Formats: sequence, structure tokens, C-alpha cells
Amino acid sequence: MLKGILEGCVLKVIFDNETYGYEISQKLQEHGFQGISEGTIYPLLLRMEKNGLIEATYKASVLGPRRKYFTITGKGKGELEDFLTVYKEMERAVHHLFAQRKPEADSEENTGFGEPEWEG
Amino acid sequence: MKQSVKEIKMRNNRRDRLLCRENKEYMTKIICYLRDKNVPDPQVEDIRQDITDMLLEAQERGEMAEAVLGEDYRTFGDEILESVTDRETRDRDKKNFGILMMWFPFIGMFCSGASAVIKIFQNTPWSVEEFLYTLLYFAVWTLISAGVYAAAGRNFYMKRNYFEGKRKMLAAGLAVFFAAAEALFWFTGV
Repeated sequence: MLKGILEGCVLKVIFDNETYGYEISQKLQEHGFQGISEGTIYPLLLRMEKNGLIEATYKASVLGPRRKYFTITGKGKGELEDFLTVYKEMERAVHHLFAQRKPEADSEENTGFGEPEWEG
Repeated sequence: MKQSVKEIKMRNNRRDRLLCRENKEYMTKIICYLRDKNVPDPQVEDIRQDITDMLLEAQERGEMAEAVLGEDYRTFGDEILESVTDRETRDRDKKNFGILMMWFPFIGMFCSGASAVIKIFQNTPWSVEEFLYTLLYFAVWTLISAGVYAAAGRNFYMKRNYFEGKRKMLAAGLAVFFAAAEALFWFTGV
């Protein structure tokens, strides 16, 4: 599930701008995705490219080696819309689950979730 | 323009030399891991190209492979394998179709050889026409193979090393049978 969310987020970054692996990982980190390196997203990019969601082109970089830039395809845009719909539904469901208060939990302060059952 | 596997391999070999020792070691481990898992060579070279570029750029930022790709190369390798599985299947299909096409001339050899043997048993006198008739099967099967290769050769893989081991023996056996049957037809029919 988490991999699916990350894939959707990578797709969104590519949707915003044509970009390359390292830049994607940096943007995700800026948005609070901790510990996302190029190595984490490379297999996702491979899969998305294989499935025709993104397209890759090589471009020379000014300072160092050439870079593989990614752009989103029409199929990728459709996939991004689907992801957003599913994610919003899931977000609502998770929010509903955690917001639910048990009657006995009403007396608990702060969260209302109470103590986990396995703790003494 | 799409680069050939050979070109990518040569480029990769050139660029590998620019990697520092630690990054090169990491890279070698991943590539060996993927080859060990039977990922087709063209695909391994594509991945090697990507990783080399990634590591060269990381080097310029002063980062090492373990920081960029993860401490365990196997975990990274497994993620890649999971992503490329379908393509692997496609590549296997291309290889199998290539092998089939490479067998066509040998099927032709068998049919031509068998045709020559039948002529011997029928005591058919040898003539250029009869000889060419027996060769027709070989010619047709070879032309089909060559035609398919010329028209769609880029879409499948044909490599000499596909004829290794038992396949090599079978191919050699068919060639010997073909040559022997034609020679025998000539000796007995003239």
C-alpha cells in the first residue's frame, strides 16, 4: 500500500515538471518524505516506464554525467487521477476509523484511543 | 535513436572506469546479482547504464553508493527484479522466437536430407533437377528464417551462443545427415 502511495507521489512530481531521479527524491524529501533516496525510487521509475506511465529521455547535464529525464504520458495522467480518487477514499476511511470514539474512551484525555489491549 | 546493446555495453565499460572503487564494487555486486537471477543481458546493460549515471552524479555530490541505493545491494536488486519481471518474460519470448527462427534452416536440412534418402530408396537417377528438388526444402525454410529476420529481426534475439551443448550436437547432427544423404544420393544415383 505504501509503495502504491509513493508511486502516486512520484507520478505527481513528474506530472508537475519534467524531472530526473535525484530531483524527484529531493522534492519528495522537501515535502516530508524522509529517507527517500534515488535508490528507493529507481525501481518505481523502472516499473512506471515499463507500464507506459512515464517516458524517459536522456539529456546532457551542464556539470556532470547526462541525466535520464522523465515525463508523464497520457496513460500516466489517467493513473494519477485514479490514484488521487483511491487515496482520498482511503484517507476518509482512515480518518473515520481513527476519529471514532468508543464510549469508554470518552473519558481518556487527548486522543480518545485509550490504552492498547496488550499493555498491562 | 535507440542504442544497440553492444554500444551500451561499450559505453558502460568506459564510464565504469570513472567510478571510485567503493561505487564500482557496489555496482559489480548488483550487476552480478541480476545476472545470477537470469535477467537478460540487454536489460542488465540498460540498468547498468542507469546506475552508472546515478552513481557518477552521486560521486560528484560526494555521496557513496550505499547512501544512494541502500546498504544491502540485494534489497535494491530484488526491488529491480520485481519491477522488471514482466519485461523479463517478454525478453524470454523474444529469445524463444529467435531460437525457433534459428532452427528453421536445420528443419530444412532434415527435410532435404529425408527427401534425398527417399530418392535413394526409389532408385531415382541423380540429375541436377532432382538434386535441386531435394534442396528445395532447405532453401524454403532458410528463406523463411532469413525473411523473418530481415523484416522483424530487431523484435527478437538471435545469438550464436543459443547453439550450445545438446543443441549444438543436434544442429551438427542434422547438418551431417543432410550432407551425407545428398552425397549418398549422388553416389548411388549417378
